[in-house]
Amino acid sequence: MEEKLLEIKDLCVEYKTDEETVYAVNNLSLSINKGETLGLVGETGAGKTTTALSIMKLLPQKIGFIKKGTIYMNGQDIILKSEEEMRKIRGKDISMIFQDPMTSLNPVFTVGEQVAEVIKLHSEGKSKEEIEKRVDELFLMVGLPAERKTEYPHQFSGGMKQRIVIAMALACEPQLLLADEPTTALDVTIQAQVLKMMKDLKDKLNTAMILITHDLGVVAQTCDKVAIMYAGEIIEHGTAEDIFEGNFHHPYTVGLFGSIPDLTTKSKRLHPIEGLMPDPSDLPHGCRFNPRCPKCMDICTKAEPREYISDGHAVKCHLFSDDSSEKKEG
Amino acid sequence: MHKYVIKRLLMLIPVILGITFILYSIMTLTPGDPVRMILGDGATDEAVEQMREELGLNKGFFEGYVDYLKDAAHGDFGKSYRTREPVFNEVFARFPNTLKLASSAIAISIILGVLVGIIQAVHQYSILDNIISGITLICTSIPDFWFGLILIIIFCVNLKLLPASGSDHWYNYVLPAITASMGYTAGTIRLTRSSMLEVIRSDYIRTARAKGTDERTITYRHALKNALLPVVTLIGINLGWQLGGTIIVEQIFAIPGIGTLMIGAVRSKDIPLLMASVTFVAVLSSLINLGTDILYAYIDPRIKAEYSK
Amino acid sequence: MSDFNTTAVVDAIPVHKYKKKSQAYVIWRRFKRNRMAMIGLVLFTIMLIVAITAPLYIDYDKDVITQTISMRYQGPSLAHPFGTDHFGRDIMSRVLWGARISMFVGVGVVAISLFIGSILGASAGYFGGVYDNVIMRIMDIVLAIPGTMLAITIVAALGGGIANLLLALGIEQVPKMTRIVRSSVLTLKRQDYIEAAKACGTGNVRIIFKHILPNAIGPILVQATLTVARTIISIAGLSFIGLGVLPPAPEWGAMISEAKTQLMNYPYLVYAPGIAIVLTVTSLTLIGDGLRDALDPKLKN
Repeated sequence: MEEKLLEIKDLCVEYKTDEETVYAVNNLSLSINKGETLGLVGETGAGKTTTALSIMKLLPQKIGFIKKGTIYMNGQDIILKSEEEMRKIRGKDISMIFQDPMTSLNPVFTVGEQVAEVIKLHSEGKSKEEIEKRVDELFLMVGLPAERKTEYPHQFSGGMKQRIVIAMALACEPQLLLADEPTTALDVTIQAQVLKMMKDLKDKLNTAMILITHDLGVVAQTCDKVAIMYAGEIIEHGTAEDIFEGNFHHPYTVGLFGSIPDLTTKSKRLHPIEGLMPDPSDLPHGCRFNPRCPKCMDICTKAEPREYISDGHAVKCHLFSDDSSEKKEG
Repeated sequence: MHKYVIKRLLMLIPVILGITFILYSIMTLTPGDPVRMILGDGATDEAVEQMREELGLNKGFFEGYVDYLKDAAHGDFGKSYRTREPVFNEVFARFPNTLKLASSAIAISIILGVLVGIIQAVHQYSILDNIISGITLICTSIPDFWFGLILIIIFCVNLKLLPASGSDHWYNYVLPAITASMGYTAGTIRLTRSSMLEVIRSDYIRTARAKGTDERTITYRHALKNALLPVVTLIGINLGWQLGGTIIVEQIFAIPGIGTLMIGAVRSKDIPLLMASVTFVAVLSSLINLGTDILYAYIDPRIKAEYSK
Repeated sequence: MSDFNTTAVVDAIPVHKYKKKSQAYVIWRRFKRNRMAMIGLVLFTIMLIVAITAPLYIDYDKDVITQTISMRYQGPSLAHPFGTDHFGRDIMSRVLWGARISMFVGVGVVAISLFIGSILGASAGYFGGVYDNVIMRIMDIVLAIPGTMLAITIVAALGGGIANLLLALGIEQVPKMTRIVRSSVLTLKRQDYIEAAKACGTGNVRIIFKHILPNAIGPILVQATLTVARTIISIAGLSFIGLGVLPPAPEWGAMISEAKTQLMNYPYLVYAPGIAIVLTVTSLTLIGDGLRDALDPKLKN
């Protein structure tokens, strides 16, 4: 039986500034089992990073707030944990890799020091030699010569920096790795290398991973499960097969795939999704996607759709309310 | 690194030439005859002529300047028109007073400025932050001479705690140092605060948080070292400015420093003395700036790499 | 997984309906939201009105410079809210009139240094090469002389008075203005629309004045505002040591200097002119900071 590692229920996150309140994440629920990889897909501003930061409890101070919901990690609600307890979890049980490796490392410390710090923080009683040995191991693990640990971040290329960030994230063999667009800032060839390395390492360490991306190709290569986010909600989720090969989809998902250039079928032009993401401080009534939806119906502007689930493949859309196939409430 | 330092030192030569030339031009091309000033209006024409000869003032503009440079190259920067002492004797006699004043003022501004700046950044948007912001804003707008007088009214006239003038004891420097440091302290506070806030928002601080580092370590280890880079530059510039900028404070508290010396030299058209005192301060502040840049390299490895190229 | 041979980046510009608004309007709106900056603006406007309208209710000859020894050292009263000085002159009239002098010299210094600095900086940045090098090295040399020392030397050599003060402080500020204009021009020079103007055969002078300088106006304006503030302090400082505005003109620094000799007996004499300086300089600093934040919202939190 697969064991649940992380389970988020009804998470709502708001950003409050002087001028407006941004509803970044709205009633989001998702779960991930041990060792599994979940792809979290969506446009910029869909709330993917906010979701990850909520799991770390690293939302921007005094601006970002978790309004509602629970985040269970190994059966314990993270939201109820104190800052001090969270510090023991961060870097040890849950690690995060950020988008831009160029700015993720502190320019005034050597990369070795920065990797060593995370080990020092989470393994009391380790001697200096043991820590250094572990740093060397980690460098080798991510494919960097250990003797370069005495160098400073500016002496490394973007891809190498991301390897260091990955070494740092995996140093304490976390149970869950949050990777926020880890390859977006890298060259395409380097992207593939880094991605493969991450996949191999997580398999080796049996780490679960939430991979945040807007790149469906990356998802296809690495993920077991996929969740599609739109305007702070998960509008469709299921196994990678459900999403890529299933026969019913949310119109937004259809739109996403429509905007991918396809080499196997001859098509004169791409089909981008019309319109822009709604203003998260002023979300539309009913279904959030209704202003852009090609199949928008009357009800879509009035009532929020519920989730229609078939064999674990869930879609949040009114289109399926008449569907005769087995549906359960989500 | 050595190459960089040598290059910077060589660049001082045109600066010195330029400064002396500018000052020489201002002093010789403007109205007013130093000899008449020294001898007074009643002096005979012969006496004036004889003195012009003695002081080397009978030469043409360029001839005079070139002669000055030639002598300077041999270490002779001329004698003061009034005291007939080699100018650097006077400069060195006065310099310790200015140095005491400038360095104590800078010390106050560093300690107070960095500390208060950090406290403000850590408590951003709190009432404390707003109050300090208001005070520093007003402090940057208060003229130092007026602030000095207010301090005298409070501490010398009303409380009778400290003397208003003199330079022999350490307590003579308390009020002047506070006066001279006020504007710089406010500037250091403002820069430290904004620099800390900028660094705290950066990605690598988020990385440190994601590692599970506590806030204290983040503030004092991860953020401070980065945030201090611009502050170090400011302190270097401040110290350079202080050496030449204590003129007015020296005047208020009657401290016989370089500033008072320079004003005296300007008033009596004592060209060699003026050139010596201004050039001395200018070169010294250039050297301090060089020192700051070298210090920079020790804090920021990126800069060190650049210097070594 | 069949159909996904290519990687697609699904990304869209977030939100916002783009209404057409002029750049100046956007900046003004941001400025208006900044409470401190607005306080500065209101304060400065009041000062400016006082300075401009002073002749309407103050008679320079009678109220400001006429000495009435019998009236000397009167403490603050209804007739003389700030008291009278050692010549029996009404301090309030002198302080209000002083605003005219400080603002005139402050703005004049910035105008002079901005004029020279724009020509030098824009041409140096635009043409580059040896010319740029020569100009900037000269500026470095002038900058190496501590500012106060340079101004004192020039004023002392030329003699006091407003014209010489303008010249001395103007020269002191030229290098800073040159640097700011030059760096703005350097960044703008590489922009495509400048290339486009060049490609159309537009002349150099026209490109500098028509295309580059107007776009560099933001940082220049900020610097100019803050320089007026600094200059008002410098004028007062020079006058304080007797090298600035000549008596009997009611310059704030000169007034403080005159009051200095009577510090023991009549300390109230130094308060009013000092507070006038602090208020003016603070208001200008607030405006300058507000402008900077409005022009570059990234800098603000």
